[in-house]
Amino acid sequence: MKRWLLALALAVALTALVALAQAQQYSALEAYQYIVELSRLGANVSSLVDELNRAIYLESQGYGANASLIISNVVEEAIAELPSAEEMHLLAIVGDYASLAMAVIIIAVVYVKRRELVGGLWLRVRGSNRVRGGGPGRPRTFLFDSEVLSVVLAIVIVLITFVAAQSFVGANTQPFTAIAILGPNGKIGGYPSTVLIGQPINLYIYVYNHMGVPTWLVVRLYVTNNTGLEPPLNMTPIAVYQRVLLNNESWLIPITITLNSTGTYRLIGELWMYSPSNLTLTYTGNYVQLWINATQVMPSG
Amino acid sequence: MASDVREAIRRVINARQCSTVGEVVDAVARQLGVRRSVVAYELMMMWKRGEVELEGVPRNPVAYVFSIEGLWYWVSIALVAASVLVVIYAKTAPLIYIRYGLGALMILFMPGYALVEALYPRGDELGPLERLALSIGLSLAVVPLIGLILNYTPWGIRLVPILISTNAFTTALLTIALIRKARLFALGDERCRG
Repeated sequence: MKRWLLALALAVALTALVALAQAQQYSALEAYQYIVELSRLGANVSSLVDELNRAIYLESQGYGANASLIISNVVEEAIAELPSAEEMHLLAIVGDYASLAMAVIIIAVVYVKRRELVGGLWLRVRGSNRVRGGGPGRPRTFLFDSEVLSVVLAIVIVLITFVAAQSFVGANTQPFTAIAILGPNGKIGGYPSTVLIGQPINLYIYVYNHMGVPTWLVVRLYVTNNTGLEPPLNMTPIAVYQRVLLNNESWLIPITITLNSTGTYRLIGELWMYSPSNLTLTYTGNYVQLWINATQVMPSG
Repeated sequence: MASDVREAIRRVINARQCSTVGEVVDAVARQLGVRRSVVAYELMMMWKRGEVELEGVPRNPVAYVFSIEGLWYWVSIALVAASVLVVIYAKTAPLIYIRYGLGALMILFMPGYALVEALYPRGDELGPLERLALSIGLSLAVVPLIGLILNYTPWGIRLVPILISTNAFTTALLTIALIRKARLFALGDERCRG
């Protein structure tokens, strides 16, 4: 009877722990969602992202209570910032259109009144100069030539169309994330191909976010001697790294692995992310791998 | 309307050579009953097209540099300085659009323009359209050459070396053009003296 009770208590405790962890994960995702929303409204979310990253790190180190506290602070701050961010976003849009309208009006007025404006100014500067006939007979500048102005106008129209199209379509038309593996010096090259068993291998994983908004990225690191498996791998990773990266931010993760038996191994890094739109953990389709031979004796030569 | 004003200006200048701009403008404005600024604009256009000559700045190189005659140089230098500033400091909208505009001007036009001005300082050797086409074409030819040279330097093809080298090249050529134009200006004759 006591055994049954003990087992029941253990099961309840385990369920409570799992539920707590899931609740914490849900709050972290809620904070992430608010950060993404604020970022889309043009607010500066650097400090909120830093706080959320601190919470993610504490959570991974087992300080769940501290992480919960930070996450709830982030959510509160984000909710408080949301109305002002929406207002600022609206004001920015109105301001942009007002500036554009103002620029068009100024250009139109200057064009219509160009004789009065330019003539008046020129008269002030050149009024005391003496005039005589017998100039060179050919234009001395291209600034006021009608043919030149037509060509310049054509070029300007093409440029304005291009810039306007860019701003309407948006700079992040093709959002992407990237992962790379770097050598022991944090640069491309110098990768170990053959190592002694037990010898530590130092490498770096490089991750880059170009999703247009802060993105929660997860790197799953695997070491396998199966040469035929294709990512995403259905096995337990040797390490998981995760962090929210701002748009255009990169992240360099130092890693150290050791291989304890001889053979050919693949070090694989898969890039996953919590999608900014639906907050589900999805595989980005990007991975990196490094083939390493582990031997007992280093081959000579 | 504009042709009437120009015809009246020609008549006044033929009748009274070496009058001041103000006197010519006043005479035509009274004669036709139009605004002085409109007459001044047409007179300016006649001067730009090489129909009439203006005199008034002393014929020496230093006077040329610091007079209205040398204004083109200071405007060009101001554009170069402004482009450097916006490239360094303008990172977000709306200043980023000024960065795009000035950046394009500094890469696609100014190096060639400075080279054309240095090679043809008199101003009337080439037609206006030829000058514009050469400015754009020579910029497209010169900037990759600067990049090629930069590639073999320790600094490489990066933002700051490109910014410094293209602007230094443009400024140097503008200064050569200024010196050549100032010398030519000093050689010019002053028919209205006395």
